[in-house]
Amino acid sequence: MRRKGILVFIILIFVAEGLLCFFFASKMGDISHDNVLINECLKSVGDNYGNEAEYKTLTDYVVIDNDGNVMFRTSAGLSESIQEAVRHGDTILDVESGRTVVGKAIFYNDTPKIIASYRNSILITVVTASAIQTVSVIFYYMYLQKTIIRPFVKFNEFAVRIAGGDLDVPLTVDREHIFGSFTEAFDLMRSELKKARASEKKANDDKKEMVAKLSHDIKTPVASVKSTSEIGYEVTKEEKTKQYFNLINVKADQITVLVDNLFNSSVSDVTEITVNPVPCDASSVNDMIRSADYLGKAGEFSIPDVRIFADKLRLQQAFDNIFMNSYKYADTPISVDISVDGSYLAVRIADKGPGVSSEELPLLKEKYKRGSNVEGKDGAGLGLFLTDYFITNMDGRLTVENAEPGLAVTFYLRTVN
Amino acid sequence: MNKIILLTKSHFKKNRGSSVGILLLMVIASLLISMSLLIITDAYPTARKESDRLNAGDGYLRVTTNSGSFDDDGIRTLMGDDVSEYCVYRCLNYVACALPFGDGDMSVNVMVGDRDAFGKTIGRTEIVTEDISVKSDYIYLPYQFSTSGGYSIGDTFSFDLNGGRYVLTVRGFTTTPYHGCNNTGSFELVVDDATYERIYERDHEVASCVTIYYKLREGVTQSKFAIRVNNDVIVMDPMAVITGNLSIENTISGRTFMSLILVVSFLTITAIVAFVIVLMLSNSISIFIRENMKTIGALKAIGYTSSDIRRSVIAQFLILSVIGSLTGIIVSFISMPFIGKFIVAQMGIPYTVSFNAIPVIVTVGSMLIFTFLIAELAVIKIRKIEPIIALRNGLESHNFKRNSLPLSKSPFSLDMSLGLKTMFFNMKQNIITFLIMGVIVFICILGLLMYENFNRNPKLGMLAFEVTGGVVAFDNDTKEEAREYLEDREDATNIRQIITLDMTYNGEDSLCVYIVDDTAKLNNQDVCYQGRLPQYDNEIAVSGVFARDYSLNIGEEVSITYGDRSYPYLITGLIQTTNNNGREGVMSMDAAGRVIDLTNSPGYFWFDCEDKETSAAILEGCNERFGDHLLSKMNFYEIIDGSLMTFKSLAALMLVTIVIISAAVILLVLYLLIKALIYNKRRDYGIYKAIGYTSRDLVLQTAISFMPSILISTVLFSVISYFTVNPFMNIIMISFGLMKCSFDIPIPGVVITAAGMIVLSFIFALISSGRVRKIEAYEMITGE
Amino acid sequence: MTDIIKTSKLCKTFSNGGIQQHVLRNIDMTIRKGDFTIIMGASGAGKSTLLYSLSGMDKPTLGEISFDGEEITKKNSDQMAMFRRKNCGFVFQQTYLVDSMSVLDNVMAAGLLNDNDRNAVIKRSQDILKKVDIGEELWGKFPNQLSGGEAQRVGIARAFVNSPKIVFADEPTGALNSKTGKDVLDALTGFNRNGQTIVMVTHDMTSARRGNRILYVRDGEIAGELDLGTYVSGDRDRHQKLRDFLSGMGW
Repeated sequence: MRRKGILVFIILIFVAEGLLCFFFASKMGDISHDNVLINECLKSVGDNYGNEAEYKTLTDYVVIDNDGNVMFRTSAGLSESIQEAVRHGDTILDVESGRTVVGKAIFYNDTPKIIASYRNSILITVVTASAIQTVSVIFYYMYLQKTIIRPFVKFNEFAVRIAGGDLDVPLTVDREHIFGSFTEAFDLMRSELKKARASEKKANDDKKEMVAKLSHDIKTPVASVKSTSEIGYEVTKEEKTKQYFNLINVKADQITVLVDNLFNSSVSDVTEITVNPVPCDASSVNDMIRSADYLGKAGEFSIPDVRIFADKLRLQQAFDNIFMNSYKYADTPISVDISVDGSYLAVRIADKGPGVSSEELPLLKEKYKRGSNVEGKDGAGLGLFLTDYFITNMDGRLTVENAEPGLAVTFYLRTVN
Repeated sequence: MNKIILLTKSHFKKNRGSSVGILLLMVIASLLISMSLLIITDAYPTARKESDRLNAGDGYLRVTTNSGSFDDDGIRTLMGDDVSEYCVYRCLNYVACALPFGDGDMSVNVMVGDRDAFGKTIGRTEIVTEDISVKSDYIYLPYQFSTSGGYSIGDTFSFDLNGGRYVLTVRGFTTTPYHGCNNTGSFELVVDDATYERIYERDHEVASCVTIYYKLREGVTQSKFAIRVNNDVIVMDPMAVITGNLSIENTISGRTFMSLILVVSFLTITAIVAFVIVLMLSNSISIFIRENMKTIGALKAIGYTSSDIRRSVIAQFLILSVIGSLTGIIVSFISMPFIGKFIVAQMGIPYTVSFNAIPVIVTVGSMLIFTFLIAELAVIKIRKIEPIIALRNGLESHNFKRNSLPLSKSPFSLDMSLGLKTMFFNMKQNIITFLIMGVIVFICILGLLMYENFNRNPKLGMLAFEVTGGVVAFDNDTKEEAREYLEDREDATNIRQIITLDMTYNGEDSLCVYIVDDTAKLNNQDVCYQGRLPQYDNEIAVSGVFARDYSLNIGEEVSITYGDRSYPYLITGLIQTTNNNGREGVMSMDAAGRVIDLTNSPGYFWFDCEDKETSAAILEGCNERFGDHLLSKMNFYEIIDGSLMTFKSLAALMLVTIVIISAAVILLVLYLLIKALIYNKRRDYGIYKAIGYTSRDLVLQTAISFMPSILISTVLFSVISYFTVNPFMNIIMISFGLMKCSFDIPIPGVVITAAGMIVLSFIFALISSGRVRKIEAYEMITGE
Repeated sequence: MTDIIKTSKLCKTFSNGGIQQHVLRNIDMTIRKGDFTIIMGASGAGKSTLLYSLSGMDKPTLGEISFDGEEITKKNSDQMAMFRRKNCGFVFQQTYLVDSMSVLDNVMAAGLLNDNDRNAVIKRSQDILKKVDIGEELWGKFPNQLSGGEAQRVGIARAFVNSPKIVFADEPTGALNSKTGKDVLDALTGFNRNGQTIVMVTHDMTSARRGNRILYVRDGEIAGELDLGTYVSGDRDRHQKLRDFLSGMGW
C-alpha cells in the first residue's frame, strides 16, 4: 500500500513539474508588440498634440516632429532618431493630429528585456523543479532510513547480543513488519535458547545442590568415623592398632578436605565469568543505556566528561538487566541521572513502578532471589546478582533502594584520571 | 444464490435506520439527476420542439413599408432562388412599444394583426387557450403574458400604440415560434376584426408591414441571405424599414438563454450534491462493514467466502439504489410541471411533462453503476477481514493501538475532553463531516449568490449591453438643445449618446454596433471581459462569440462596412453579449465617423437617475419641452421590472431548493454518522452511563464531538467560497458560452448562512444524538 | 484410528506495542478421527490460539498443518473459507449467531453453504434443531430472544448441520450455568457417540471429563497428554484419573 503511495507521489511530482513548465512556457509564448497599447499611446499623442501631460506612457516611446526634433520622450536611453530606431528594430509610426501627419512616434523595441525576463522564468522553473525533486528524494531517503535501514540496524544489534550470549533483550516487531515472520522466528529462537539455557542451568544447579547436600551428608558420618577413630586411638594400647586408628583419622581428615573442596567448587561457579575492566570514556555509557532501553522509556540525561574503569560488554549486560527488570516489573517511564560522586561516576536509574518491600530489599542482590511480585514473569533471579557481581569486579559498587514510588538502582563506577 | 438472499435479507433487518437514511440520500441524488435530465431533455428543448411543431422554417424578414413594391411578384423576386418555400403575412408593426407586463412595462417590437394571423403556413401562430364567450373588443396575447406577465383570460388589457390608447379584454393566449418571448424582441398581438379595422385606419400609413417566413434551400447560409435581402430591400423601396430579420436559431437561443443559465446552475448544484452523496455512500458502506464486523467474522468462520458476503452487501445497496432511483424519478416527474413552469414560463411556451425514457434509463443506470462501483470499492475491505480478528473485535496479531488523549493530562473540562477523545477516535468521520459541510457551504453560498444577483440586486450588466435609468431619442434638429436640457437637469446624470447600427463584416455577416460618444461613461464596464473598450477613432471591441467564429484576436484588424464605406478597425477588446446572436460590437462616435456621417442622425440620449419615478419625470419633462421632436422614450426601470420577473422567481426558487436540499443532506449525513458513532461506542456509552453520566451529558458530548469539524469547515469554506464562488461560476458560465460575470457576494449573507448552518448542524447533531437516551446502560454493554 | 490433523512445528506470535509474545511454540501434535479431544491449560497458555490455528481460522506464524493429508497453511482466506465450509463446524463461547436472522435462518445460513436445494436444507436444519432439543416454537425467534443455553444449542446445530469432518468448540459452556451447560455437553457427547470428531477447548473439569483424550497446553507447548477412554456417565475413576493428571501438570 505504502509503496503504491510513493509511486503516486512520484507521478504527482512529475505532473506538478510538468504544470510548472507548461505555466512558464505558456507565459513566454508571445514576443510581439501589444499593438492595442501602442495604438492607445499613439492616438493620445495625436489627439493632444503639444499637450504632453495628456500623453499616455503605457510603453516606452519617443515623439519626433517632422524635422527630426525630439518633442517628447518617456525615458532616457531610447532611440531618438529614425536611423537609430531602424538599427534597434523599433517601431516607427506617424503621429496624426487632425488628419495631418505632424511627426513620428518611435516605439522602443524591448524584446531583449522580455528575453531577459524569460531567462529568469526558465531559471526559476528549473530551480524550483530540481528543489522539489531534491526535497522528495531526501524525504524518500528518510523514509527508507526509517522503514528499512533502521530495522536492519536493530536486527544487527540484536544478532550481536545473541552472539555475545545476552538473551534477555527481546526483538521488537515494528509497524512496517518488513522482515515478516523472520522477526518472529528470530525472537522465538532467542526465547527458546534462553529457556534451554535456563533449564540447563537449573539442571546444573540441581546437581550441585545435590553435591553440596551429599558433601554435607558425607561429612556427618565421616566426622563420627573420625571421632570414633580418635576414641579408639586413645583407648587402644596396642601400637599396631593405634597405627590403624591414626590412619583412619588421617584419611577421615583427608575426606573432609576433599568434601569441603567439592562443596566449595559447586557453590562458587559463577566466578568463572570473567570481567576485564579497562579505562574508557564515560560517554560510551550513553550508547549502552540507549541500546538497553529499546522501548525508549528513559528520559533525557547528560554525562560528565570523565573516564571510567569498566568492561563494556559486562556493563552493557548490567544495564540490559536493569532496564529489562524495570520493563518487566514497573513498565513506567524511567529517569536516568548521571553525576560524579567523589571518585565514582554515579548512574542512577529509577522507575515509578511498585518497587519492592523494604524487607526484601537487602535480599535482591542474592543469587536466585526474586521479589514477591514476580508472579507470571519469567526469570531466574540472577539479574541483580550478576549485575552486582559485574560491577563489583569493575571495582565499583551497586546500590538498590526504594525511590517512593519505584525502585532506584545506582551504579558507582570508578573513575580514572 | 439462496444463501446470498438470506444474508441480504438479514442486512436489511439489521440496518433498518441506515438503510432508510441511505435510501433517502439516493432519492435526493436521483431526484436531482432525473430533474436535471428532464430539464435538459424535456423542458429546455421545448422551444425547439414548439418551433418544429409550428413549422417555423429558417427565419423571417419583416419590412415596414407603405409602398406597393412588396406585392407578390416583388416578394418572389426578392426571395429569388435562395428560398424553397415562403409565406407572406401582412399586419401592422410598431417598433419599440411599451406593453404592460408584470409589475412594469416591456419595451419590444409589437405586431398587431387580425384573425389572419392564425392562417400562416410557416411560422404558425396557434391558440393555446381561449374563451370564445368573449365576443368583441378582445385580444389574444402571447402565452408569456399568462405565464409570467400576470394576465389571465377575461382580464382587461390596456395599452398605447403610436399615441392611441386601446382597452381590450383578453380572449386567449397564443403560441408562436418567433413573436412570443421578450427575449426574441417581438410580440404578436391578435385583436378582433373590428378593432383591427380601427387601428389600421389610424396607423396604416406608418405601421403597415409585410412579414415573410421562409425556408432556405440547402446550402444557403442564413447570414449571407440576410445581408443580400437587406440590400435588395433598400433597392426595391428606399423608404422601407427592415424591422426584423431573424433566423430561427437566433430566436431559439434568445428564447432559451435564461433557461440555460438556470439549467447550468441546476446541473452544477446537482453535480456537487451528487459528490456529497457519493462520499456519504462510500462512507456508509464502510460504516456498515465496521458495524457488522463480528457477524461477517462469524459468517466467514462457518465458511462464507469474502465474495459471498460482498455479493450480499452489494445486493443490499443495489436494491436500495433501484428503489431510491425509481422513487426519485417518480418524484421528479411529479414535481416537474412545477419546476418546468418556471423554466418554460420565461420562454412563453405552454409546457406539459412528456414521458421521456432518457431520464429514467440514465438515472437508474447511473445510480446503479455508481452504487455498484462505490460498493465494490468499499467492500474490498471485507476481503481483509480475517474471521479470527473480527471475532477478537479487530485486535490484530501485531497491535499498535495508543491512547490518544489521556484523561489525566487533559487541560479541558470533563465533557470537553471526553468529546475530544471521541473526536480523535472518530477522525475519519470527522474528515467526512468536514468535507461534506464544506461542499454544502459552497453550494449555499452559490445559492446566495444567485439570489443576490438575480433577485435582490439584479445584475443587469450580464443581460444587457448597458444599464441605465432611461433612454430618450430626439430628432436631429433638437438633439443639441435636448442634450443641454438633460445636462441641466439635476436628477439626470451621466448623459451619453448611444446609437446602434447594423454594419457588416466582409460581406459575410452582420454586426450590430453600439456607437458610444465616450466609452468611459458606460456604466457596464464589465461588458468588456478581455482587453479594453475602444477609445480612439480606429478602434472597435467585438463580441467574443463573433471573434471566435472568425478567429479574430485582440490586436488584429477587422474590416467593417456600412453602406459603401469600409474601414479596418483595430480590435481592442472582447465584449460579452447575448443579444443579436452574439454579433455585436462597440466603437466610439469618432470611429464610426470613418464609415458613416452621423451629423444628421437623431440623438439617442441615455441617462442615469435615482429610480423609476425620477426616470418617468425626466421623460415627461422631455415630452413637455420638445413635444413632437421627441422620437421615443424608454423608462429602463419599468423594463427591468417586466423582464426580470421570471428570473427573480427562478433565483428565489433556486435558493429555496438549495436550502432544503442542504438541510436534508446535513440531517441525513449527521444522522448516519452519529448513528454509526453511537453504535461503535455503545459499550463506552454504556460504561459511562453505568458509572453515572446522565443521558444529557452523553448527548451533549456526542454532539460536541462533531462540532469542531463542522465549525472549522463552515468557517474555512465560507471564506474559501467567498473567494472562489465567483471564479467558479465564471468557469461554468464561460464553458457553457454564457458570459463573464463578477457577482456580488453579500458578506452579511455569508455570515448568516454560516451561522445558520452551524446552529442547524448543532441542533441536528443533538437530535441525532438523542438515541443515546433510549438505551439503558445494561443493554449498551451487552447488546450486540 | 487415523489422524485427521497433524501439525509440525506450529508457532504463533502476537505482539503488542512491538513486544513479542510467543503463544505457540513449535507444537507437533495430531488429532485423531472420531476422538473427542479436549485442550486444557491455564488462561493465556495458548489453548484458544491453538484451536483457531488448527481450524485454519487463524494463520500460524510458522509451521505447517495438514488436514486429512492436505496442507492448509498456504491457502488464502477465500480458499480457507471454502475449506471450512466443507470440513469444519464451529461452536463459540459467545455463540456469534447472526442476530438479524431467525433461529432457523441461522442454521440454514450454514446449511445453504454446501447445498443449494432450499427444501432439503430446511429439512436438514429442522432435523438437527430437533436433535439438539430446540422445539418448533423457537424456530421463528431471534437469537436475542433465546436463553443462553438455547442459543448455544442453536450454535451447535449450526456447527453440525453440514455433518462436517470435524467440529471445533471454544469454551461452549463458558457463559452458561451448570444445568444449561450440561445440556450443551450432552448434545456434543451425543454427536461424538455417532462418530463425530470434536476438538474442544475448556478450562472446566466437568466439560473436560466428556473427552476421551486430554491435551494440556503450558507456555505454548503441549505439556502432557492423557487417554481417558470413552465417556461413561458417573464414572468415579475417570474423574480421579483426570484430577491426578491435571495436578501433575500444575493445574
